[in-house]
Amino acid sequence: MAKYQSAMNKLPQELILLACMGITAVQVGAATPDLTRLSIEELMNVEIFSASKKTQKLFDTPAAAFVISREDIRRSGATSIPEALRMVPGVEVAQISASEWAISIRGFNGRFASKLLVLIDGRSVYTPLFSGVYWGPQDTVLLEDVESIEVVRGPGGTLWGANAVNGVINIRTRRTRDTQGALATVLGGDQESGAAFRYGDQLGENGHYRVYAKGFRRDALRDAEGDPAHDAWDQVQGGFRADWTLSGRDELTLQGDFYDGQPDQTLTIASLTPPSAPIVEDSVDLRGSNLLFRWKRQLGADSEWILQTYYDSNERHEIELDQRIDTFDIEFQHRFPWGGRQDITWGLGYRSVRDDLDGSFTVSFDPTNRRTELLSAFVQDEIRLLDDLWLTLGSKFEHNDYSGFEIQPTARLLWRADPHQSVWGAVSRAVRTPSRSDSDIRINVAGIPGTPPTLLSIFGNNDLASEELISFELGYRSEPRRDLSLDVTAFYNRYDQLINVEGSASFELTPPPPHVVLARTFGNLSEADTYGLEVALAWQPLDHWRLNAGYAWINIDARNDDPTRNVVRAAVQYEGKDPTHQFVLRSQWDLTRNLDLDLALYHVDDLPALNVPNYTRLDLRLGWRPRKDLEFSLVGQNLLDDHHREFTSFDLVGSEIPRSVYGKVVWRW
Amino acid sequence: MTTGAQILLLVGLFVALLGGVPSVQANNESEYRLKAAFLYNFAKFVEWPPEAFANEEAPLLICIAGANPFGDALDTLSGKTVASHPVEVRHIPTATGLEPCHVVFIGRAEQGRFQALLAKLNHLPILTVSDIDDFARAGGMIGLVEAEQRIRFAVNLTVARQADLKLSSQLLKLAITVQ
Repeated sequence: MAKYQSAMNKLPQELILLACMGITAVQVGAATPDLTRLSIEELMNVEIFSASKKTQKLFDTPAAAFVISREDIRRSGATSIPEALRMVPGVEVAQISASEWAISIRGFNGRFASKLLVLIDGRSVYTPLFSGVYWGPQDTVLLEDVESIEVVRGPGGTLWGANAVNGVINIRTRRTRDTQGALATVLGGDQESGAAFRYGDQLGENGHYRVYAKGFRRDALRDAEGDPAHDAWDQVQGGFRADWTLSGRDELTLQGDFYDGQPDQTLTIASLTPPSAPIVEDSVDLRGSNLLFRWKRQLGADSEWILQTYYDSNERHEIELDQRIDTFDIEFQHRFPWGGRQDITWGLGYRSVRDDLDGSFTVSFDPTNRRTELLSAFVQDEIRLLDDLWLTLGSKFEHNDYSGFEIQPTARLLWRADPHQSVWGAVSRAVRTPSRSDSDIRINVAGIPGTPPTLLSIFGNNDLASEELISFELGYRSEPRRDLSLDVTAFYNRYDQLINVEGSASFELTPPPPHVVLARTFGNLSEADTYGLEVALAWQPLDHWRLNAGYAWINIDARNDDPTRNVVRAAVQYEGKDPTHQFVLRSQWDLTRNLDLDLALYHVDDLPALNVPNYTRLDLRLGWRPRKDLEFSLVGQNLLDDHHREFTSFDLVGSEIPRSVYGKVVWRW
Repeated sequence: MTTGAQILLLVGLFVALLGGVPSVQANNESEYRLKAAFLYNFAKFVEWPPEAFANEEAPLLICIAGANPFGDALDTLSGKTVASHPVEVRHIPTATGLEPCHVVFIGRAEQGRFQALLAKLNHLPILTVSDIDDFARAGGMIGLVEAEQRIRFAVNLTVARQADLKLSSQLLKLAITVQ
């Protein structure tokens, strides 16, 4: 029953670098790559210099990875990153309102879901406030400029040079030399409208740049009766990126974005005088900007270092909280081969976060200003044991101001059984360190009238330990034919020290009138076992027809450490909020050389704890390119029902997602 | 912890920057490994006339005419298949007797005589590929082009059609120019 309750998840963390390493999900792996396994599209993205590096297919990655390509995004008709993520088997995507989503991997979903690391070009975009992501405003990219979205399910801690408990989502934008010239898009539909412009050109002899700007309006979704909800959202944003290649071995990147948005929202606040939990309509004001610099030096064919630093500042003003958070981050990473059979990567990182949290009666923080620091280091060794057997060992070490020293090791083994099959397994430990909210928040959930009145409140706890995960994963991949591939992952996760709330009572004199406080305080009180299966199937029956199917199943068993204490039942806290079964089927059909017909069908199981029934969603897209530089598309989303609910958040009055249609023009010159 | 953090970071940077690892220049090897993979992929998107193969299991011959810039990079192709045809790689230094080949790669070293080679192969169902500048415009079928450290390709569809080769639309879609 609380605001930041499921907010309790997640770590202010870390180093990162998936993106800035240039080691991407497709690339990390082992050994000499077999380039002939790559498609022409993939080959066209391989740099000549890096061809001898670890350019690797998913096939040889000892982790549950999935890559959304630029083509997948274009043909999905998605207009935002969260919508594009629906296609990934095993990712839970539920829209709460026009500007809010609940997104998670392998359970624990919520508006404040917090066991996921999300990066845009190497910059972490989750908020240290609760270690989750405000998905709406953080969508600071031009979708046409996204190269790929790499999703790694499972603990990404060590292997990815990052720190994530249940997964990593890595959004990479295209290099500026690939986005030269002008691009303009105009979109209009019954639920949203917008326009975007990008221009790219040379910058001196060795560089390229691009600048972009976009603006959009998302109209209000529906309430349960089908009337417009109070959640419309306007936003403008812009940014730039410049890349230089110097002396053939140094690559410099400077990039930045800003955004300014006004999403409406409807939420419940607390009051000591009746009505006790009034529902109010609010207009959020959000602003943010970031600047990132990256220097990558190639030391040899298999060796490089990367230095990256960024500054991110964002503000969010809403009725219950005015927040401003500034983050400074610097990371260094170095990779080199050792002794012919080993490949070592190590890195160091430092992050400083300063916040100013000006709360209200409903939500407040003590202290209101805080500066925290995070120091981390990691090392990873990929060892080629035999010609077809690779072992990856590594660990991350960090020190944070909330829970102190943490260690997150992993061991992964990959066996290439034959050219068409591989098997991998992994055992990892990951932690979710307490967030600012977990430590310092107070949420007044509701007042109960009476003499004296009673206040239901949730209290942070600055003595929390990290939530711990030990994860076991087993994966199998098969590519029996060129046009067919199968990827199956099974996992078993044991979580310990999960944060739950314990009840107690006290009496307060302020603010008046004097009142009883029924307190619920965060503690490391629960544990959970989750297990599940994720399947991805890709099949190209014809030269011009591609099919993708996905299935995910998860089961969650949660319990409290000590059943005699007055703790919210773990099952209530953690179960029934994630779909047990999820299916996705996508079809990309080239009707002719310049006409596409695309379909996506999603089925999501019910969420019993949130009273959300199962739903099936159908999206259709028709795309036409009369010329190489011009594309028209017509997209219908959620075509099967008038409106349906996808999630229910405790504090926010959520909306239902209506059927919608839009048309879009993309023009390049 | 602040000072500790900074010291650790500085030490790390120092080790990396100064202690570094000997730098190695980019080499041709990786470039031609990449080009070999392109050759293999092209073969998969080309349809030869039936008479180009003796039978379903007949090998698909990829030939290097003249100097071999690939080193052993092409070895990775041997043993692979295109449709039902096993790939066989042949190096033909004299550049004569190319007629049984299905794909002929002409290296940059053959700049002086590639026109004569193309004339000999004219109208034969042989896919000609080269990284010589403007190869496709000069009458070759697929020219590999280096652009911003990556490899792109240009296609001369007219010449391919004259040779009775069908290039898939997927391939044409990815080409930087089609003429």
